[in-house]
Formats: sequence, C-alpha cells, structure tokens
Amino acid sequence: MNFKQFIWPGKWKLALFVLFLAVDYFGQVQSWAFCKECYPKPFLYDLISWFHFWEISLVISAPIRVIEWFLPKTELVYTVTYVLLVAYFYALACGIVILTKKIKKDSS
Amino acid sequence: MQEKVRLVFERIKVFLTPNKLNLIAFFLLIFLFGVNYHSRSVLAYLAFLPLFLALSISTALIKSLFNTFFKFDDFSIILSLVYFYIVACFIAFSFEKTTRKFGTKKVLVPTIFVFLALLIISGRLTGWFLVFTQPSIGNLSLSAFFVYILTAIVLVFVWVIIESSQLPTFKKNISAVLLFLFLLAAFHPALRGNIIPETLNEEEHDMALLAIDDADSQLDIQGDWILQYEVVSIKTPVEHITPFQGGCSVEVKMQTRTIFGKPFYKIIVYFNSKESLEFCDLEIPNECDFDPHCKP
Repeated sequence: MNFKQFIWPGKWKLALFVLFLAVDYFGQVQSWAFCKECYPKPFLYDLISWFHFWEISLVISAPIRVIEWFLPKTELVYTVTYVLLVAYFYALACGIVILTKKIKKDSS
Repeated sequence: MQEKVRLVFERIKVFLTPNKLNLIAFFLLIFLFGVNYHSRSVLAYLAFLPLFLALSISTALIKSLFNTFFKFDDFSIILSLVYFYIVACFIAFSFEKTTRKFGTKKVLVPTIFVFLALLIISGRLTGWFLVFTQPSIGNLSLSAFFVYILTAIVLVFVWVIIESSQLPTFKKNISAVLLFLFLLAAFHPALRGNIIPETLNEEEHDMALLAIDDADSQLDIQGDWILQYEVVSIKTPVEHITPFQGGCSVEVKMQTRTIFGKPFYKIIVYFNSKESLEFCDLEIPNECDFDPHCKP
C-alpha cells in the first residue's frame, strides 16, 4: 500500500470524514454550555442535546487538542489548528477504512 | 494557425457555455463563499486568493480606466462573479470528465460528501451555527437568512419549470443564467445594500486605531475571554447595535462565537461620523456591557 492508495478518496472514507467533521461541529455547539455568561444558546443547542457530541469530539480530535493546548489562544492559532484537525480527520478516516478492509480480507 | 485559434475559441466557448452542471456548481460556490464573504473565512480567502492576485496586478492598469464608470467595489464584485463562474465551469468540466470515466453513481456520492465537508468546514470557521441566535453575525440577520433561502427555493423551482418546458435550449440557458444572476444578487452580501459597512480608507483607519490606542493593552486574552477590537466602518445601518458610552460618538457591535470551546468576542466599533474619529478616546467595554446575564 502506497501513500496515493492511502489518501485516494472513496465513498466510505469521505463519509467517515464528513461524520467526524459533523461531530466536531456539533461538539462546538454543545461547548456553548461551558460558557456560563453566553446567552442565548445557539439555535442547534437544544436540538442536539440528546447526544454527547462534545465528549466524542474531544476523543476523536485528541491529538490536535493536545497540540493546541501548548499554543497561545489566538484566532490565528485556532484557525491553523482547525486546518490541521481537518487533515487529521481525513487521515483518520482513511486509516479506519483501510484497516477495516484489511481485517475483513484477512478473516475471509 | 487561424484554424488552431478558431479551435481554441471553439473549446473556450464550449467550456463557458452555461449548462446545468455549470450553473449548479456556480450556485454552490456562491452559497459556500458568497454568504461568508465578510466573515473572514479561510475558505473564502482561499477562494478569493486568485481574485486578489488578479486584482492587485490589474488594479493599477484597469482601476483608472474603470473608475470613471464604476466604483472599485463594483468592479471587484463583477470580477468575483466572473471568477466564480470560471471556477464553476472547471468543477463542472472535471465532474463530467470523471463521470464519463467512472460512471455517475460512483462520482456523485463522493461529490455530495465533499460538498457536505466544505459546508461544515465553512460553517465551523465562520460560526454559522450562531447565525440563529446572534442575528448580526456575518452581517446576516435571521429574517434575511430565511429570505435568501426562500428566494433560492423559488428560483430553483422556476428553473426546473423552465428546464422542463418546450423552449429552445439557447433560451433555456439564457433564462437560467438570468435566474442565477438574480440568485447571486440575493445572496451576495455586497449586493445586499445597506448591511455592508462603509470601509475606512487608510488615513481614516489609522485615525481610528489611534482613537482606540489606549485600549490596546486589553485586547488580549482576559481570562477565558478573548477580546478583539476591529474598527470596521463609519456607522451604517446595522441591526442590534449596543449603545456604548465612550468618549465620543460611537456605537459598538459585538460578534460572538466559540472556537474550541472558548467564547470569542469580536467588538466592532462603529464611528457615528468621520469627524468623530478625531475626538475619540474609547474606554474598554467588557463582556458584561453586552450581556445582561453577566455578573462581574
């Protein structure tokens, strides 16, 4: 398996990628809860409160969050780390899909 | 030689002739980037980068020529429109090419996923989810947002009717172009009229920065709060402006969004008149000035 095969987009890779992005997005909406002074809550906030998006988004983006922890908290840094996060999500999606295919192949 | 030139022109003509795919891609581009034009989105910057390059190179030559007829802003809108359309043609062309190679079914699903990904990324960077509670964010009011969506639905509906009619293809294409230009007018913030702030020129901007110079020390992170001043404009009609008692005649608008869980406040100072720039000596408002629920 070479690098091109690894990153070549496919249906499942992109689906997972979008899923990760969506979880992160909803996690951000839920993070509003930690800001006691922020009012009113975002429109989506009540609609998605039934699921733990914030916690899951923390887990799936852990490596980037760790990097971010050490950096100054400015808008520029947040923007740059978001680009990193997007790249990481795509790599993660590729990794999961390829691993699943390999396990499936080995077991059959 | 003449034949070669004719062939190139023929290819360009085919490439640029509006069709369903071109127009859909055009619409999606406007939707993704047009709405966020003033939201400082990275994607918007990337999308506009070639435009800015083209502008800076051609400005010196063309601006003087066009200034007689248009304001520069008008020119940049026209140019962005053309730029969007060419990008849309490229997208449609490559989509068609890959479709021919791999089949529609195989290409369509990944394309939808890519669009969804771009939509989420764009939304995350610009704080779209806050649009519904902070009507002034991204210069997009709640009522305006629904008006745009409604306009888009109506226009797409009219387009479907035209497409299924018995009109000749050329007339169909022309009406589709007109419809999408109308849609652009509805979506593009720069064409939405009074919600676009009047931009300060360099001298006015310097004066404004001087006016808030004392505030500089407090522009950084204050505990968990990130405050940032951005002098945007001389006052223009904007919804939800919070009156602010400063040393001069100003009004303050606040944009709020979260970035990785931190509330990010962008405070925009609107000067009531160009003259007041000279006399302003602003005091720093804190988040409690804007939030009735805040207990300092």
